Amino acid sequence: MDEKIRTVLSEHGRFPVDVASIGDGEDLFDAGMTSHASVNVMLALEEEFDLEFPEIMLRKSTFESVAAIRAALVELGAA
Amino acid sequence: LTRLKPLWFGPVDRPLFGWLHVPENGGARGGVLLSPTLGIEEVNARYAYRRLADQLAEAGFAVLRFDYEGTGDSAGEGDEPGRVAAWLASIRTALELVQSLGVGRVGVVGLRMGATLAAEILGSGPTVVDDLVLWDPCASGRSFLREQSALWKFARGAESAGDGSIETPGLVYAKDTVDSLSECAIANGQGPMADRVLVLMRSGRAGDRRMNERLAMPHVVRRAVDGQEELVDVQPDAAKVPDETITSILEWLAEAAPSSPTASIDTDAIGRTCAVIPLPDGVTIEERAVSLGPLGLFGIMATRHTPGEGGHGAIAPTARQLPTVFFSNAGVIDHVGPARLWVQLSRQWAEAGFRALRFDLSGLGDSPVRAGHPGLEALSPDGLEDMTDVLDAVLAEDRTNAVLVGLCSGAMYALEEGTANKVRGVCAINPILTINLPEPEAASDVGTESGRREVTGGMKSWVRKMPAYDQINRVVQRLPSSAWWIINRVAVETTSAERLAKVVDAGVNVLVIAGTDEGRWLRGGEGRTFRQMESTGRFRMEVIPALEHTLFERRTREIAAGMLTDHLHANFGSSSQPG
Repeated sequence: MDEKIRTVLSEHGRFPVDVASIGDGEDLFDAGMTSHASVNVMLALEEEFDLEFPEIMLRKSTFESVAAIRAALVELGAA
Repeated sequence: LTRLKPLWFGPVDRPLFGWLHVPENGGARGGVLLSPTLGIEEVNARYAYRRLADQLAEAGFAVLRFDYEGTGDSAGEGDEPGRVAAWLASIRTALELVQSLGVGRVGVVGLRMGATLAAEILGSGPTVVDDLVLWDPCASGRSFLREQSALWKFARGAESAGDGSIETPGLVYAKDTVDSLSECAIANGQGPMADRVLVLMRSGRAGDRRMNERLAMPHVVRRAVDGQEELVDVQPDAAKVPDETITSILEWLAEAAPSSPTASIDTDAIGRTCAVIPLPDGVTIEERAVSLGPLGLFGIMATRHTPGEGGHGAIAPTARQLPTVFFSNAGVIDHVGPARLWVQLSRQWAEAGFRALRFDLSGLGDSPVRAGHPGLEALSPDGLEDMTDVLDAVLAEDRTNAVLVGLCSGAMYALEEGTANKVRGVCAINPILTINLPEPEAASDVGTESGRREVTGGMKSWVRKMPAYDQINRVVQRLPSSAWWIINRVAVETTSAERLAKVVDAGVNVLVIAGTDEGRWLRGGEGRTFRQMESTGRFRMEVIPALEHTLFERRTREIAAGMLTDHLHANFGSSSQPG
């Protein structure tokens, strides 16, 4: 799952740094992900894991780190 | 190479605004309607649509781009009930206008929600257009609202309103609009949509399953395009026109069109150049498209409508004494202003008897680009000359009887031009005064005229040239006032406070509206200068906590709008003392 998350972040996060250099708990927005990019990350994750983030998860904290994204995906039953 | 006409069309009591682009000789071999997307995406894509329309007209097409009812320069409000029905009706009305040109072949291009709304109309029933381009289409209104809502929540930490409405950057969708828009989908309907359909999908995106199934028809061509994220998924000042995509659309439409003109179009006979606009309180005002100065900068003048006193174009007697209000671009955002605020204020203030002009600086919105310039520059070195040209064109006899309103770089221009002309007032929202326009020598590299006026201050050039300037700038903006005082003396030629003081010293009445951060940057440890300005009675700065810089948030936008209106009436209205 982590590999898929990082691939999505790499393709859609528009980071100024290599995604591999960002730690699991590191703040993705501080690392350079814009609000626009985070929406594209959200959409790409939904496509990759064939799910939809519910309204209650549509908040910045859901996408603020690799760990937070992983926790949200696990909660939604993603494999 | 093309002929342009701004026009109002459709219902006289709810006119729509648009631009008609036709080949220079008037001969057209086809017609194309450009259906816009919504909200902040529409702001980003406006210039791309202008370029697409220009290039299609150069290739022999008559092209109409327009604003939906309640958006842009069209009549109505964005938060009225029945918006989706009004937007769909707007497309039908605009399509009827294109079809009435008698050009034969007619196509529709829709970007994002513009594609979804167009498909909603064209997807059912018999085919009424020859060509349809679905450009990065939203699979449904629901998916669009979800994306826009998420964007706003991620950017602002906003919560749902709880009443079914959805706030997005610059536009709030009422509950009934959310419900109706959510039902719109590319997958709806069973018809062919058009004789030919081109679907331009973002590279790397598979697309919605239901949409893909709906579009799996023999006459539908599907292609991947790059550049969409750089167009709609960035701040407006960073939006890039996707030239390759525009070329793809142009070539696809051209390959099926006749090689020679099928109709001659007389632009004078199409649409109306002025309109009577109804306001929410039932009063009407008049709007007229104007061409300003030697370059022909574009603007719309709003005045009180006085039936029986000269008809269209008549100016109410009080408007001759009251100052004319000028709204310029907010950064790169065109004359409709941030979140359409310039349109709403100019109409309200016209009702109160002021003349209100919203206009585009050269290379922005719908104004021409100066020779040798790329266009779409938030900080154009020509901005001050443009401002002077506009004041000259409107107030040839007395340039002082003006109030200039601006946001961000537009506020900087307003303050500079206000000082030079000693105008009656300037309303500056989040002015950025620690920046300079591009260096004159850099400007001369692209063939501009010499003798350009420079702004009065900004960061010393050695500071701006430091490799880590951006990073340093972020840090210093968090420093306390005492540190700012030191920085002002070391790194800034003229502080923000000193620049504001020059405007006040020129006798100009100045209102500054700023967010918390912007207010601190402006004050910059220069409290004494601010107290001196305030003691003149000509200066006031209002800080609105959490004011979003570009006024895309409704709550703080409405506070700012109320302050502006109160200030205008109190200082320049018919019952106020001369300012």
